[in-house]
Amino acid sequence: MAKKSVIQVQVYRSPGGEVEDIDKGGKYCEYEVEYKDRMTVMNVCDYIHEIMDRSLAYYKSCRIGKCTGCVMEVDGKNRLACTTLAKGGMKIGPARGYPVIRDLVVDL
Amino acid sequence: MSRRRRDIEVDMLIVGSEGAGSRAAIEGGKLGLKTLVATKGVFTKCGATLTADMDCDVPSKDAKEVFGLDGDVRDTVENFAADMFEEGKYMNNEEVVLAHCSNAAKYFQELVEWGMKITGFTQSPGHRYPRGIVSSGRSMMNALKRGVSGYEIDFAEHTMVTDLLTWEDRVVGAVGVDVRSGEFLVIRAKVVVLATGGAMRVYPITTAPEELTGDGIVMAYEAGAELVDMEFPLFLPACLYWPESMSGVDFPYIFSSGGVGGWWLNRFGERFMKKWDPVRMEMGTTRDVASIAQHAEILAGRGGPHGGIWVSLKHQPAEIIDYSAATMEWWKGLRYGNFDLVEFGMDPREVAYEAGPAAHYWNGGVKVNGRGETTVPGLYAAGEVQGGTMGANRLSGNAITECLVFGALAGKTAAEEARKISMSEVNREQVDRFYERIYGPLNQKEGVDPYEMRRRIQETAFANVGPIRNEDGLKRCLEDLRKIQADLLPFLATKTNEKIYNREWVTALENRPLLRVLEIVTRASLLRRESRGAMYRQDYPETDNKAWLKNVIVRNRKGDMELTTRDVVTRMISLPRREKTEYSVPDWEFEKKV
Repeated sequence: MAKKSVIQVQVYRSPGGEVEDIDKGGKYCEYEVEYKDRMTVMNVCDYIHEIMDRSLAYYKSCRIGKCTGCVMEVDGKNRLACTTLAKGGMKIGPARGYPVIRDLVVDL
Repeated sequence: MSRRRRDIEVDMLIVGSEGAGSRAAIEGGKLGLKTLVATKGVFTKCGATLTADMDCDVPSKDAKEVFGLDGDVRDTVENFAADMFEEGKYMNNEEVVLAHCSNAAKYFQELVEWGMKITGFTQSPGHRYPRGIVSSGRSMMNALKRGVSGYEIDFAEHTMVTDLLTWEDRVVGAVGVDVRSGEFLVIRAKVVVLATGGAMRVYPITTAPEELTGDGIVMAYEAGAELVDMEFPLFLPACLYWPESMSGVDFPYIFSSGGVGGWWLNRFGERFMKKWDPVRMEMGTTRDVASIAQHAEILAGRGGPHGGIWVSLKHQPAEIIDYSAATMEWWKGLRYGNFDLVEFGMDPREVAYEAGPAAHYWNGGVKVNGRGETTVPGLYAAGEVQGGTMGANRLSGNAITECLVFGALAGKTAAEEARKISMSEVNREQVDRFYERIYGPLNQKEGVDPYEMRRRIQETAFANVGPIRNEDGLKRCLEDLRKIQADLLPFLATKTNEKIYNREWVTALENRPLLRVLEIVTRASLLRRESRGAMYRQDYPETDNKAWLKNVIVRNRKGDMELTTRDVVTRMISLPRREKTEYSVPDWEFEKKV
């Protein structure tokens, strides 16, 4: 069987707990994600959430580049997760310029 | 685990915030009512309206006289309605259709005043006259945002309404959760307007956004409201099946029906539409016929490795594609939506696409009259969640008209009612019961994975209740659903019990309406022993106008699902006289084709 190809990504995580704690001590965590053909940043989030850690929070609606709700900071730039191709070494954080609700969800 | 509870009291609660919901809210604002819009997403960043590309239909005469477009004055409200009936295969509700056609121009004119940009005018398949004002979902929502800003309207975003509260057969509010905090919400309201859209997420491949899980349809059903035409989910043909990251993206259909004309090919390279709609072919055929043609090729084993047929532009010289992409706004620079087609390995000059039918729109839904009233007092429905407008098949461009017109009409009717009545009591036992069920998956330590349950629902939907159905498959689906209902639903357990923005919990809560909706679609499809519009029964391939000029009505009678049929009644449209007709296209002979 062919070896599965994987990529490492860093994703911002808020601390758990109450609403009041959300700004205290968030950090980037490293995840190893199974790479699939033409995977997007949104697919990376789906993979981490479904397979690795159900507590990862992110916003997903149209997933075709129209609603703009999935805007995240990808390698220093605000981009739509659903139409941005994933790459190894990527750093994914909450969209810059908005208050964080939790993890990658911001108050748009 | 105990959770905080928040009590809210409003005159008018609207569930869903986009085309229909925000338009309904304006009517509450106009009367100075305390109006709350609850949405699972974020206002102007969720829902189906934004995904529209879009043409919005008005009578051609109004297009010319009201908007100064190249419309045809011979096209009246009655002609527009007649086309809706013909393409809806006579299942439409006449009162609803007339309200739709006669109010369209008025409410679009208002949107234009609020800043909606018109970028063109078009004639889509099935319309005898050009009726499609071209704009975009984004432009429409920007206009509605401006419209809403003139009034005091509260928005509760990231808020999932799960159940309606009833008191003596009247809807008196709702419960739900604030996903941002995990709080339990008890919302007392004089009237409730559902604007929650369809249930396309019951299928694994869909053009619809994440949140369209049939919540409103099932809430209304459980409160005792009649549902109608639930056997007719509309599929859009030629949507991407591969790559996974673009699943359901509709641009191969867009350039097939307009643009530069895609060819639809099976694995033997045949343009199979010549068997199904030989005159109109890919560009002129309607979506119901096209979806069934594609599904038939796939079922007959003539599809590709990812389960689709191929859509190709490679018969066109690169120069024509380049010129189209340079001049047509909708795929300017070979970008579609925000996708860079070349970057995604989807350059139409280089590759053919594997594509097929994707769940696109919900023709049926909560039965309403021409004023947006459901059959339950205090409850209104507007937009895709409503049934009766489209019948068995929707014409292109009519979804946006429906959500706008009925957002306004249902909003107005509900607001006037709210002004007249006083706040009802709430049944505390009912509130407690909903609370237990909503927080069940969070409190259960071990149990069924919400995503596993979601997969099971979608798998049986796709295998058995697609565009082409038969009795064996439908019965198999019911058996699958019975097992899911008994063995999975009561044991749902989230792996995380995080309070703030718990996606897994929302998924678990959405599974219940999805399961119920699929059961309703399946039972209604079993009852209708013929083929019509968006539903094709392999075992009953003809359209049977003798037995089936009837709507299937589904209703919850004290916990039992009751299905009845009701004759179509029309005063202005003459119903087809031929007793049995071949399905949709003139030379239809299914056996020879599969």
